Formats: sequence, structure tokens, C-alpha cells
Amino acid sequence: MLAMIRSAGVWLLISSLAAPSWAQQTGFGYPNNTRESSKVLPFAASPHAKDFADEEDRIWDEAKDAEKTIRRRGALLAQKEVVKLLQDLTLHLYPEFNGTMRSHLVNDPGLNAFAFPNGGLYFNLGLVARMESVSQLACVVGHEGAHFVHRHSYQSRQSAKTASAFGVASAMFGLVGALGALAAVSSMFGYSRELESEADRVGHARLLKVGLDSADCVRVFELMAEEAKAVDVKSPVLFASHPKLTERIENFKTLALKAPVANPELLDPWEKKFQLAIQPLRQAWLESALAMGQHAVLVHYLSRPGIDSLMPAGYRYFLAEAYRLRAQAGDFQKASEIHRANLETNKDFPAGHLGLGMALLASGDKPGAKESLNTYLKLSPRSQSAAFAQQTLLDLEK
Amino acid sequence: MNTLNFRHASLKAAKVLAGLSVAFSLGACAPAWVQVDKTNAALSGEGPSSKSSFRAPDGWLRIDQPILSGLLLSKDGEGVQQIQMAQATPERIFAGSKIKVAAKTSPEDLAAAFQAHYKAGLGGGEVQPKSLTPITLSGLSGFRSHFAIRDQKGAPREIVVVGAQRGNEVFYASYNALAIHYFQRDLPVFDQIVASIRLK
Repeated sequence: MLAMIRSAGVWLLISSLAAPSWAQQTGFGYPNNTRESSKVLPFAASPHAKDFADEEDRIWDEAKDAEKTIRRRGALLAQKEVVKLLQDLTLHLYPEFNGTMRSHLVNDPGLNAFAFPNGGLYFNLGLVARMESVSQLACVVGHEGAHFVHRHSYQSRQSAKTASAFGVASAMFGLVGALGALAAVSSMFGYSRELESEADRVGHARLLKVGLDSADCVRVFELMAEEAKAVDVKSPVLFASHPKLTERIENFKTLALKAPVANPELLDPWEKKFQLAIQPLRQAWLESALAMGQHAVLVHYLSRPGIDSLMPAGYRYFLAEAYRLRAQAGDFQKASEIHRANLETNKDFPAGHLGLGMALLASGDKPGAKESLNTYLKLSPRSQSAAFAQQTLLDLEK
Repeated sequence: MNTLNFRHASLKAAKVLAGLSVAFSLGACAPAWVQVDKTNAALSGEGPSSKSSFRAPDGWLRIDQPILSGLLLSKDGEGVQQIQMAQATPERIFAGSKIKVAAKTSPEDLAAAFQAHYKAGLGGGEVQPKSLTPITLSGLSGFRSHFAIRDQKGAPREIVVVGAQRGNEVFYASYNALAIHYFQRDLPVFDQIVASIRLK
């Protein structure tokens, strides 16, 4: 019986993939019958505010306010190539929403993205920088776009269940205020299982339509599951064993079985654009993740096999510093080893000597720490950290 | 059955009474803003858990924050300017942002943790560093970090944080004020307080 139910589920997934999206099927323009019908129809083209029911109008106003707040706080990154790539990909997947769907890059090292109900799509630096191919990025763009097109915020707001989700999000993001609450509910993990599955299916279908490699979508969610497991995320929405994440990986695997192979003629130009834009962003992510205290994430991610081909040349410095600052048993030793190995090939790298000095000090090797800090001071006597290095040397003399 | 119900009802009533009594006592003990007064040395000079002493400015208002073994001072209102002092484990201090700070963190790394904490509180908003220098705080090696942010309404604010770590406890004092007019006006008050801090 269970097997039958499973096969029926798989069949449903495959049939929904084969069918065009519901908006295209019905041929509706903007559904101006919202007031009469309890069924929320997806947008088929850029909507007009005058057609909205009061509740949806309010949601759009909230989204506008949240977007203003994001801009005022300077939370967006201006990396032109990456922002252009995101916007181009968005309109490549959703050409009928030119002018409404706007993609932005958020200065946040976390692995997440969110869509506001008014078509504002936000992708974290930490997500974009860790995508390995343009198809993986397009998978996230397709998913977030589907949340907007299928009006998932409006649908969620209508259900009492999500009213409490808004409450939870507000509590979780007390420091962030309204921005955090709306972003949390609109994020890759904020909707109900049904709406997330719909966004996965719709996004996946859009990728197929433009000839990108939809099979790569599995990797995006595997990346999240691996990270959640490795850094022991306690938050239930991201926890590796949470049914949402494991179920979504399985759904994508099923979808991939029936998907045609990507068309290289359509895929390759996008892949080239992606690879050119993404390299500087990976350096920015390493710096941001270290500055924001994501030491466990860095240790996990930068220790993966094959990471050399993805990350900029100096990434091992960040791995060493992540070990030093994570400060778990054996971490100072590992940090010292990696710093030493780096300095063998780049002996005049000041930050490497400073990092080594601090790692040696933390592991109790005072003479080694003194030597490294003095080398750092010779190489970089006027830096901001030089004053702290001198302070540490004075403390060592006491 | 009746007895059980009666017992159940009595238990319920007792629980309600106990709840009310706790709520009443909490209300009675809830911290309130009080004016710093020269005549009351204890009010102006001690943290709530007596882990530190300092000289508070006359005429300012103070409220205790027992959960952080800390307190808040303001002259014109928290939204205009506030000085916060606290001494607690890093887990407590960075609870909102979940920034992890180890027991052997250097002053420079501790300063970076505070900047990350503020940045996380701004939802990824920009934290513009202005200066970062080592200092000695009541005999401990520490830091003084100055940076600028924009609050939720876009108003520019400047923040100075001084801090030091002793074992698994972090002590910090922060001054957070509207950049226009207030920050410069009350910065000397903050610096005087910092100079008077004695950690016990």
C-alpha cells in the first residue's frame, strides 16, 4: 500500500513536470477575479496594484517598506557583473515579468535566498558564491521566481497556520525587526511544504524550457543538507534531517530522472558568463564569512574534496583562520599547520604570520608566537593589527 | 471523581495564585529608569551584580539589565543616545547573533565579534569601521572600536565599543548615538565613564 502511494506521488510529480505551468495552461492574464474566487491564481504577466484585494495590497506595501529598509541599511552589494547575471537569469526564466521581477545581491554570508511578494528577489552573497554552475544558480532563481509568480506570500498570509509562522519569524529575528520577519517567511525555507514543492516544480520546469541543466538542482539542496549536518544547525527549518530538505532532494532526483539532457548550445554561453562573474564574489564571501563568525561553515566547506578548483588561490588562509577562531579541540594545531604550509610558498604574506602567531599563542607556544608576531610587525609595521600585535607582545613579556 | 475534580480545581487555583504572585513580585522588582544622583553612590557607581564600578554622569537616567549583569544609561532617551555596560559569558552577550567567542579570544578578534554582532543585528546592513585600537581596561588588554551604521529608518548613528575578556567573561561598554549633534556632544561623557571603570 505504501509503495502504491509512493508511486502515485512520483507519478504526480512527473506529470506536473511534463505539463506546462498552470498560468500558461489557463491562459489568464492577471487574475482580477481575486475578490470572488478563493483559489489564488498565479500571475501570467506583471500585475497592476489596482487589481489587488486589500490583503494583497497590504502585503505589497509591507514588501516595499522592507525593500526600502534593506536599501537604507546598505545591505545590498553592488557587484555589477553578478547583479546583472542574476537579473539576466531571472528574465531568461521569467521573460513575461520584465519590469516587475528585480534581482538583488544581499551582503550576507548565509546560504539563503528570499522572494518578496512584489517581485523583489534577494540572493545572499553566501549562496551565489557557493554555486558551482549557472544551472545551480538558475535553479534557485527559478524557485524564488515561482514564489512570486504563484503569489505564495499572499496564499500563506491567508492561512492561519502561517499567521503563527510570522510570529515565530518575528521572534527569531528580533534584532532585525520587520525586515527579518518578512524575509524569513519569504525565504527558501519559509513556506509550507506544498508551496515549497510547487516552487521547486515550477522553477525546474522553467529551467527545462530554456535548456539549462535541471539535474544540477539536486546539488543545491545537497549542499544545504551537508552544511546543516556538518555545522549542527539547530534551527528546525535548516536541520539536515528535516523532512523539507530531505524530501526536496528526493523530489529533485525524481524530476531529474525524466528531464532531458541540457542543451550545450544554450547552456555554454550562460556558463561562461557565470564563471567570469563568480570568481571575485568567492573572495568576497570568504572575507564576509570570516568577519561574520561563520567559522564552522568555513571549516566544513573549505575542507571538501575538490575545493581547490572552485575557490581563489588564497583560500587556505581563510581555512586556517576559521580553525583558529572556531577554537575546538585540535583546531589551533590545524590552524598552525595550514598557516605554516601557506607561508612556505608565500613567506612575505603578513596576515599569515599574524594568524600563525595567534594560533601558536592559543596553543601555548609562546616563543613561536613571539617570533611570528615580530615577523608580522617587520612586514606590516603600520597596519591596524600591528598595534594589537604589539599589545600581545607586551602581554607576553609580563 | 468529585474529589479528584475538586483536587484538580484546587491545584489549578493554587497554580493561578502562584502565577499571580510571581507576576506581582516580578512587577515589583522590574527594573525602572532612575536618575543618577551624586547623593546615591550605590546607584551611580555599581553594576547590578557588583562586578564592576564606575562613575556615572549626573543628571543621566539609568536602568539595570540583570540578565547581562549590565545597565543602560541615557540622557535624552534610548533612541537618541545610550551607554550600555555589561559583563557576562559570550553566549549571553552574543545570544542575538549567535556569534561564537572562545575563552582565548584576542582583543582584536573580540572587537571583530562585536562588529559582526552589530552587523547581524542590522540584517546584513553596512557597518562602516572608523577606528580600532588596543586599550587597557582596568588592567586588562582590550579594544576600542568606533564604527558607523544606519538604523532602520536610515538615520546615521555612530557607535563606540570598548571591551576586554577575562576567562569566560566578556566586559564591554558601548556608546550608541545619533551621528548628528548627539554623538560628538556626549562622547566625552562616555570616555570619562570608561576611564573610571574598575572591574572586580
